[in-house]
Amino acid sequence: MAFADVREYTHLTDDEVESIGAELDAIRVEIEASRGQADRDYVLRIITLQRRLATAGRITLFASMFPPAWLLGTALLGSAKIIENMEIGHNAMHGQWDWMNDPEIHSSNWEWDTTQPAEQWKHSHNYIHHQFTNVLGHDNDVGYGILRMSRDQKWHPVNLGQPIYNALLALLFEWGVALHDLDIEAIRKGQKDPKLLKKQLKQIGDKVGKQTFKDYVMFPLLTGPQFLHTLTANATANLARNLWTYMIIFCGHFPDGAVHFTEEELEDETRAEWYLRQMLGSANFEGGKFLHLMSGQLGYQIEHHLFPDLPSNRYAQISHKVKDICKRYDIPYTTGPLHKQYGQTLRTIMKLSLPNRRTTDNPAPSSERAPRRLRDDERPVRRSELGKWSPASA
Amino acid sequence: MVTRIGMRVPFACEDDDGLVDVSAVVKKRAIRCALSRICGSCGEPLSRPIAFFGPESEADDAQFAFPPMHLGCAREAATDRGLAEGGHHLGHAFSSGPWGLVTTGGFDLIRPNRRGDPIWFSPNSVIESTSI
Repeated sequence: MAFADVREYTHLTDDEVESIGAELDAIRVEIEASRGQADRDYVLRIITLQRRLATAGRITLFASMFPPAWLLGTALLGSAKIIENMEIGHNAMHGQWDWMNDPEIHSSNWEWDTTQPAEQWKHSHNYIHHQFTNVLGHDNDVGYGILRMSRDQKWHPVNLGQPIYNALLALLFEWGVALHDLDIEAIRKGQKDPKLLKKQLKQIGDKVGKQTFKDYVMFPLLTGPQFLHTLTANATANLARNLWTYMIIFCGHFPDGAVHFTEEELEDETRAEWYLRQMLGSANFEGGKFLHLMSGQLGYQIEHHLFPDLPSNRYAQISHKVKDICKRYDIPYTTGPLHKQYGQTLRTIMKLSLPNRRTTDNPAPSSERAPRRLRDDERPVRRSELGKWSPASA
Repeated sequence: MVTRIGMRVPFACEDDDGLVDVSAVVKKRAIRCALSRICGSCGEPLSRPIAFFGPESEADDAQFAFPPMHLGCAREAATDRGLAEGGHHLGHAFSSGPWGLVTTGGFDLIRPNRRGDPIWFSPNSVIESTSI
């Protein structure tokens, strides 16, 4: 549906939309004004933790002929990879720590521990996904080009295989992400610039080569006779990271309540409209500090989409204020336990493998709201008289 | 791409159909520069420090109309400014008067409050500010 027809916000007046924008601006100003040493300490602490986990994992794998050591080493390494990708790499590439002026922890310098080159991620994720969030035909994260995730997307018999494609995407998530910025659809339609394609393929090839050499040649060789054990441990750590990141990312926009949009005047929306689209198109999940750390604070997906370049350690604090705004303006704040959010996502994937006529839409609460948001000039004039104190009533 | 007097066309002044107007910033490109972290002049990934270059009034207000650039691209733009076609330069209709070059670690993208208004860029951790 077009953004102007989204039921969840059609009750808002233009003034209310602007007020929401102003309140969210105020949150941003407050966080930026208080950003400082405590935030710097946080990211440095997380980087230290991640490096210690990775080092401990690599060292433990020298004894990987013993199953407990293999298991422990794999768990440590997998955790390090998850933290590096989710809490450090993803957020650093958004520019969340650029204000520190640190030459290493900077959006232009950070290269993460996965097969997709950072440069391509910053285009496919920071720009395509964050600018065109949930807009069908623009946001390639809606099903990653292989899954039908909205009833507004046309069904094709090939969608019957969605449960299998979904499982493969989860297992091979790193590789799906590596190819994400190629825009397979543009290639299929012959619209991709061959020069750009060649450049991107070379970048991916170089990065894949480095990652493969590191995880499947260099580190296994360093452990000598444990070569095969270390190799399988590294592969398992990568697999665990794939499954975890896939689940967290899919819980950000596909649980019930997160709205998908059709084509809009995307470049010309106001700041307040952009804020609203981000809020309505995103979904949070609940959990403790450890869960939020391991998910790169993407349990606060709504806050992340509102303020993608504010430090991730502040999202928990911001979420109380955003939730309050949603409550006061009667806007949905989609959240729930992780298992529930992923369960709904999985159900949607299964359901949309079938044509619309074979399934029903997810139940939506009934509403007496206007079918589309009224312009201010279409609304009843606000009453401005002061009751018995007005001159007319005297 | 270069203009008829040999100046490089800034990436942020060319739309996706190849239309060029060096006196205006293409909003779509400017947003892409900000989010993808690419240079508004050459279109390649940014490096630290990030540079902003614009009329002194923009530098004083810490709000620039032209997207972030490489420091080298900003310096090159400063050199070219005297040769700008008809006074047009880096998304501005007039290039006369002093301009400011600001280097920073990070910046904010400021989306407009009204439809049709431009977006702005605000350096948030200034390293150095010079007048050219």
